[in-house]
Amino acid sequence: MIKVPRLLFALSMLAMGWWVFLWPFAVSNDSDHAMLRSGCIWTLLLFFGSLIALLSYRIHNRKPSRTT
Amino acid sequence: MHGPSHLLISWFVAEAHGLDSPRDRRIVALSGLAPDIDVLAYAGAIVYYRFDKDLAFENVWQVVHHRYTHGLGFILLTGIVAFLVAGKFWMTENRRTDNPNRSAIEHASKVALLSMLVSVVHLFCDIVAGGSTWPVFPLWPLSDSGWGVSWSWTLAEWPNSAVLFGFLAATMIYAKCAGYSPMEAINYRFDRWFVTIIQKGSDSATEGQPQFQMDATSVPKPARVRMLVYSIVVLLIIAALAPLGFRLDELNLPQF
Repeated sequence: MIKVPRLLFALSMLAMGWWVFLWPFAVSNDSDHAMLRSGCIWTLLLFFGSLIALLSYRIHNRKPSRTT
Repeated sequence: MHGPSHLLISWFVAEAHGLDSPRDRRIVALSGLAPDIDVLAYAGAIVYYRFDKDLAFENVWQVVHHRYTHGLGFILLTGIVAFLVAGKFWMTENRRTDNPNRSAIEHASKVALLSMLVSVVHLFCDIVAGGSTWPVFPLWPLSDSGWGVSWSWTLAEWPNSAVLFGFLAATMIYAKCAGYSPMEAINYRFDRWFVTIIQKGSDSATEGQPQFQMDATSVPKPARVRMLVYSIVVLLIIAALAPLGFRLDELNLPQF
């Protein structure tokens, strides 16, 4: 079950790498602004969504002894 | 994106990936904030230009911000530093606790990888939510090409504030549920104090200390602390609104 949010998180990281390092230098085109915007916002939503899922899993399965 | 947002996001990424040591989570959290270290150049420039903020802004901040610390070179540097620091701590703890479950290299590599990942997240967040006037230079030092988008949210726009307040709320919820919080990235004792207050209320933070003598005119100590905190918050709000002439429309709040 944890594999799905992990996979989505990895996907969001790949997408971030794409938008940060590859898009501007390999693909960028003035006519693609709408796609860029929606792509970045969906990446951000995917990142936050998978992060919340991973944290929820962590809270429900955490070891009781570890604290600062 | 705001500095505290970067710090909180990075800590939550470290936590979500099962880093059990507070020290490791702190390394990753600070790595996520590290690209904004170029603010020190601005602080130094203000002193150098004898507190002329305009000169410092024009000659230094406009040139260095997002350039040298928001690129591949700095991400790799972050990874190397995180690897060395995490490896050193792991070796020390291993020696003390005699716990050879995982090799130091394997452990330090995981911390370093997460540190580099949160640096990439920082770059991405600055492209989307750093303002259109501040492009990042993701391939520096290989290339000096800047990269920014015209629709990027400025710091004053509501999505940035929503992310910040969302993560602050998440910090409190997580402290309540897990018994620790991203505050450990700042100070471990502060984190314990914060978690105690979140879980048991502000009165419990003074448990074990000599109790205040109540009489008709005195106020209990926790109430005084609360009053002090509320006063500071009010003063901060006034300090933020005063330069705007108390015009809320300049805060770019969402229109309904």
